[in-house]
Amino acid sequence: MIIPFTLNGEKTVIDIPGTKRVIDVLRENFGLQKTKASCYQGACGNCSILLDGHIVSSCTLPAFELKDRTVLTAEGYMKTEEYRRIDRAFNENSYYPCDFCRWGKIFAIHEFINSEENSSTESLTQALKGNQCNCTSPSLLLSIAEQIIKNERGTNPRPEYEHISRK
Amino acid sequence: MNISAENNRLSLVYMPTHLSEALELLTKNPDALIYAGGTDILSHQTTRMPVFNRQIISLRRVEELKIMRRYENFVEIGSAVTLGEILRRKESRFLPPVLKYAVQAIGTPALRNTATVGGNLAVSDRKLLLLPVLLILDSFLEVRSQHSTRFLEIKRFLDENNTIRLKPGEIITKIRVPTGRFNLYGFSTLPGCVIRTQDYFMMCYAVRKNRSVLEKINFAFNIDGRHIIRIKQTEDRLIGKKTPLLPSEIQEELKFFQTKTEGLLPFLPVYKKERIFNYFRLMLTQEMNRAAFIE
Repeated sequence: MIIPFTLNGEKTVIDIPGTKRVIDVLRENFGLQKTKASCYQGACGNCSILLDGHIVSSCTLPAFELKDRTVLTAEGYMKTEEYRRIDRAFNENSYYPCDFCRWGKIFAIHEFINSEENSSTESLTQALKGNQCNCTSPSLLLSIAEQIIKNERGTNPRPEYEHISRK
Repeated sequence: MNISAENNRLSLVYMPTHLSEALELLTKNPDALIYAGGTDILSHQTTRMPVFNRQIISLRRVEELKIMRRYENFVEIGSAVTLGEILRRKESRFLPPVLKYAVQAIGTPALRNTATVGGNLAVSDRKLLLLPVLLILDSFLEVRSQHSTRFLEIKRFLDENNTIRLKPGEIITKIRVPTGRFNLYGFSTLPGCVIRTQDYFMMCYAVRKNRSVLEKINFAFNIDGRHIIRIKQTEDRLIGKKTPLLPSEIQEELKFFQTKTEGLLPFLPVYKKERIFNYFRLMLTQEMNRAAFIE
């Protein structure tokens, strides 16, 4: 099946079986290895990508669903300014999740920043619950995410992590 | 006809852009798989190459199924609207809060961005979260086939097992959710439960209270994703009563409710029956006394 779509800002056409999972298309056909394959059930959050700007699990998505859509993977998102700010917040707080769950967590924060949900701890916990890896403290992620969202939405006039020098 | 159908070597995928095309395809290929969000289909297959039907009709490009409109007394939701969009779109401000609570309780943000409202209702082997909620809100379903349209209250589509039954060639096209009928809502699931487990519990209710008098009350339970319990007689008995209910009234209603549930689900283990009973008691003793939500 011929599937035209936009991958990380570049128009792409690929001829593959339409029922192949998107996670496998990204990893095998495009070599985008930062998207990790784990559960194949949409439960762990490790295979998260941005489809038309919204977080989805690429393992529960068949390739034909990509037709005429825009996909942003970790490799593409790394080039954005938003990623740099999230990454800086992670670094400033010495928060280093493992390579498996890192992008699921970053995309979950991205999704929350761009939603209209109120930034209460409860709704943020709900938004981050899609990542089941406990390589790092979930409570630390929650507090960092709260800080990032406040800064991104402009509700925090003095972004704290910008004033902490990187060691 | 603007349909892209391509043989992907394993399945033939049709991607119609209009509803009429999708219905025509379904009539021609009655065994085809209707694909909306696909979360239920794919999360049940852990093999790397999922197995699909020979023919797949994807509804993702059918714009008519992705509308969400607000009217004076109801909000109309297209069946291919994703659960994530329900929370994001501006029309969702007018939806009864219980529906939003239910959507938020479903899965993770990534899953909600793929799963659709129609898919949540049409899953045939289990009853997911939205069915009991839409049931208590007295919602309507529009179901269409190539030559006919049925537009009925959701309860009229349910069979004896409270499962939505569609005729061959039919798809759910719209869900109409009435607004302004109730002013007190409640929704609770057992913390940490996911619907795939064998031990799942959910309760929801919608009440119209005028001052402190119960004018209308609908409530439903979802047990293990297999049984939806709604006891009309109990609902009717509560209408006209003043809140807070008197202790004698509560006792009377609990007794009546217990006899009804005993008869309905004789095979349920005792702890599950007690759970239903306790949630019902909580609803009568505490929840009903809350101040009504002002719309």
